[in-house]
Amino acid sequence: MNPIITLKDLSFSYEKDWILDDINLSVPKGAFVAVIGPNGCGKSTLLKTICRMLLPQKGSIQIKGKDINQYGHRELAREVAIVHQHANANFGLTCEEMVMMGRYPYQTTWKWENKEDSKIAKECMIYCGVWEFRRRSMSELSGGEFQRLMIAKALAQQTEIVLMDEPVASLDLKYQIEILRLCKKLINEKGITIIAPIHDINLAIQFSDLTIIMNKGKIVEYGETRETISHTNIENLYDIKVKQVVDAEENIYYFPAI
Amino acid sequence: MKKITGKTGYIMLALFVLWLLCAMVSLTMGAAQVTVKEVVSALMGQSSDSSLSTIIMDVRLPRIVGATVVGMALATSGTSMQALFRNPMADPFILGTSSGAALGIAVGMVLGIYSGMLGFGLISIMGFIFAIAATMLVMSLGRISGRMSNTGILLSGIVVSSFLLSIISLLYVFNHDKIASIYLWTMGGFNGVSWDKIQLITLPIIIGVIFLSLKAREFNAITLGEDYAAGIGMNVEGFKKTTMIVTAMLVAFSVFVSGIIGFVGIIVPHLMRMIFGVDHKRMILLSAMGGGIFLLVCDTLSRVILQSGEIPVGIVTSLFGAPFFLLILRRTKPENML
Ligand SMILES: Nc1ncnc2c1ncn2[C@@H]1O[C@H](COP(=O)(O)OP(=O)(O)OP(=O)(O)O)[C@@H](O)[C@H]1O
Ligand SMILES: [Mg+2]
Repeated sequence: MNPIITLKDLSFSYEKDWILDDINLSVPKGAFVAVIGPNGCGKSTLLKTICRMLLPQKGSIQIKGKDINQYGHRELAREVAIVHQHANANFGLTCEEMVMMGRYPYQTTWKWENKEDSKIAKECMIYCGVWEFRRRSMSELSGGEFQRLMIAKALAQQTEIVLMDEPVASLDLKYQIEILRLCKKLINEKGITIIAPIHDINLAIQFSDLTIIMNKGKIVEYGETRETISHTNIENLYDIKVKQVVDAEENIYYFPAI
Repeated sequence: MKKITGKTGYIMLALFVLWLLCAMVSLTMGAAQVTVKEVVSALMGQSSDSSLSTIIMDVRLPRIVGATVVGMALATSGTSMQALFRNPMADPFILGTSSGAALGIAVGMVLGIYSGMLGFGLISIMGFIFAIAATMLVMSLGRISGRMSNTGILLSGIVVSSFLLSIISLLYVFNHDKIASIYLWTMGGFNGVSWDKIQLITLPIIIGVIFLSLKAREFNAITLGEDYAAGIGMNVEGFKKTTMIVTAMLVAFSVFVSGIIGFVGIIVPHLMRMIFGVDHKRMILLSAMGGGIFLLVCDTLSRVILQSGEIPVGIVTSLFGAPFFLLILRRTKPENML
């Protein structure tokens, strides 16, 4: 099957060190790809190059078989949406207006939002459980509520590719599961592709199809999650001892050995 | 504080009525006291007293239109710059745009390209180019280790402004013959403004304001950060450039008519946000209206406060503005400071 995203010999640096170092990657359509790796290994940077927020010094990126530089600004935002790890919440826009911004790539200078856009924004907000906040100012939300709002905005973009940087990092247990289930649902129903750095290895194991293990700007392992996230790989990656627990249903969990 | 959430159209209408009232009152006030009835008949061209009609039609009316249009331009530029730089204190005065325009225009005045429509056009273009150059200088000096820092921009804005203003002062020193007119002009005011100048600036300013109001969605997005704006498909670099150019144009035309008038670009947007909320879909147009009313009121005050003579309007706005600015500085949350 044709990959939806292909990175070839990709290298990127902010100043002098290579933060992404000769990355080769192809992501099949409809996959949930988890990215794991230590802080500062380049996960967020990788996502930012895939949505052309950062321009790599070397190599190329293809989205749906077309070079990323051939896309127009709005055109690219109709294919790739990103949920940032850090976002500025200090702005008193209402939550509904905020999600409505996800419809921007479908508008023009003269054509602003219409009924269709409002309908889609509403659906996405209900999906993420933020519809009740629609009239509230986004600066008044808790961290997790804000995170869900940002996901709703990304969904409103109706893209085939959604990049989620730590989507569940600030969510409570219920919403961790809800949001990841939602991701699964989107993949099953709409065939979208998700790439998500996730620090929680056990969630990555439960929900992702493929896993990328990154370290120091390089992809060290990439493949089926069950095979990639192994006892030795985890211990090597984080340089700690890890305990492995298997439950009655043969699910595997990893915990740092204290 | 509870925000007013009515339909933007109604609010605009209410502000327009408020502006009409202010304009009416302003037309009646001044050295020659005129009644509303006389004003109306002069406006209709049916006044029997020709000197009264001249005062109203050729002295007070151009001032009112001028103050309104310049107020619109300055407040709108302030709103756009605050969003663009995500800095609650950005405004054409602070960011050096006004001083840049003033230097360009002062140079034009000294060179003597200052008469007729062509001269007006040329001199505004000089103001425009200097305005852009000064803003870019402040922006690049304000980068601390590669990142745009609010404190850095504020500080370099102040330094560049003072530097440019002192060059203008030097220009007076070397051009005694033109001192009076240049001096009065940099103080900021609409004294003796003519229809010629007003005609030149009104249309470009209105087009500029409409252009910026069509960019409301982009302003909202960029307030959330450039990464965010790029993520929803905005051409961030292109937007920053066009916005800079349009605001510099607005400022250059304003400075050309009335010299440097500070603080309008800070007070009005903040006031409007406090009352009507932050959404640029209404903020741009509302702050334009608010700016027009504010400067009209200030200009009217500037010419009626004293029994004889008048205070330059720049001084009136600064008298309001400086304390207000300090208030904002104290109220700003620390995370917005740097
Ligand atoms: N704007 C920037 N300028 C310079 N260096 C940067 C910039 N952003 C990130 N870096 C550096 O690049 C490296 C990779 O950062 P990145 O944000 O991609 O890490 P990450 O894998 O997402 O980490 P985390 O798990 O903490 O989110 C880090 O060493 C970081 O310090
Ligand atoms: Mg990160």
